[in-house]
Amino acid sequence: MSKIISIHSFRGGTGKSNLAANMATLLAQTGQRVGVIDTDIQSPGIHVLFGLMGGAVDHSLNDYLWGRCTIGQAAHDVTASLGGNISGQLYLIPSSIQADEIVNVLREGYDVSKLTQGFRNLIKDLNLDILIIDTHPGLNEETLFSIAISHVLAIVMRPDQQDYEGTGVTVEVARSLDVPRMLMVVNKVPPAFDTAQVRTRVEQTFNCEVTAVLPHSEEMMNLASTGIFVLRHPNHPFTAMLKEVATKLVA
Amino acid sequence: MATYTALTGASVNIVDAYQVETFDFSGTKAFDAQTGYRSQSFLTIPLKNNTNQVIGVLQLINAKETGSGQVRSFDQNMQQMMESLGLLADVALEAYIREQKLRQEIQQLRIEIDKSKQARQVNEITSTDYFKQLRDKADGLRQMLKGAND
Repeated sequence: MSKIISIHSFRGGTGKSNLAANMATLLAQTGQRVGVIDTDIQSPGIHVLFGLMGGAVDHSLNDYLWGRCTIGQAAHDVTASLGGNISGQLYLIPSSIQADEIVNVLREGYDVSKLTQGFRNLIKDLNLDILIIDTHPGLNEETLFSIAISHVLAIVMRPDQQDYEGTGVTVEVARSLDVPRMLMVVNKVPPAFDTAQVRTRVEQTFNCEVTAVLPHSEEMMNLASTGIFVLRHPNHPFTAMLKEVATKLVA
Repeated sequence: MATYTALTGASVNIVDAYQVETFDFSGTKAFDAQTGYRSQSFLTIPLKNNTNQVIGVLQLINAKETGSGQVRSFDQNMQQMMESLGLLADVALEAYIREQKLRQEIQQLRIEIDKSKQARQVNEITSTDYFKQLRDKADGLRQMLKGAND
């Protein structure tokens, strides 16, 4: 049995990719076989966090879907980069599923089942327990697809007025797609905010479970996406919080 | 005396509260009567913010000899040292005030969402053919993917 978890946010800059990378790492550390698909390589994506620079990314999920390479070639085994004895496995699959490509796909008469087949083969060939999709921000055809096929949707937002409106739309659209499990992570919360109040207000406003209210972290900022936080700071209180989130994600 | 310092921004150094007439120490004397304490020497220093406004007052009572523990006056050295320490207290106090103000503002965490606008925006998406097709297939796709590695 495998589980697809989409990590989504309406706007960029919510810390979504960092969260996805850290979740993937923590889950691999617990012995799971984890795949991470980055569907947003226009902005510095998750591959940067794993130390995979542009040149090292030769094949993407797209190439596989269009028959230009095998799934194995598109999946980069980054388990070794996690250091130490990792009982699980971590594969990074960079992707460039662009909205216009999906539109082309639909225009040419294929339906989303074709795309799903690609994901299915990915899970099957790599024997994945968990597939994490680090989505492009916002709502477009590609992100809707990711949300629709997910078993768990984690919506990341900041306690910022500019995030609320779009997040509200996302939550309702996801509900219309009957996503089996939807949860929210409020991230980069300033120290002056009362965490309990943030949790209550967000839960009440969006009528959705809030899995975590994560404080703004100086160390995370300083790390500046040059690495995986939970590996660099294994004993940091923030890492403990992230471990809790990982546990709840797969519960 | 604390009020005097607060209003004037001047430090006050009193050798013995019971020997002065310039300040009203009746409150102090009442406190002493109740508690059995004997207030004697007072050093009162203003705490100022960066625009030189008094934001607080630091008051030290009864300087003591290191060895004997006997109460003595606050000498000039001590006063200067306390005034320097007062600068640190200034910063701490300012930070505290800022924090409290911020907490008050955030007390009412407001999440403003225009519900009718949201409904419109949601509808814009859910009424598309793409969305409808996706929704119809979604559960089947999820089931298929769940069992993909069985």
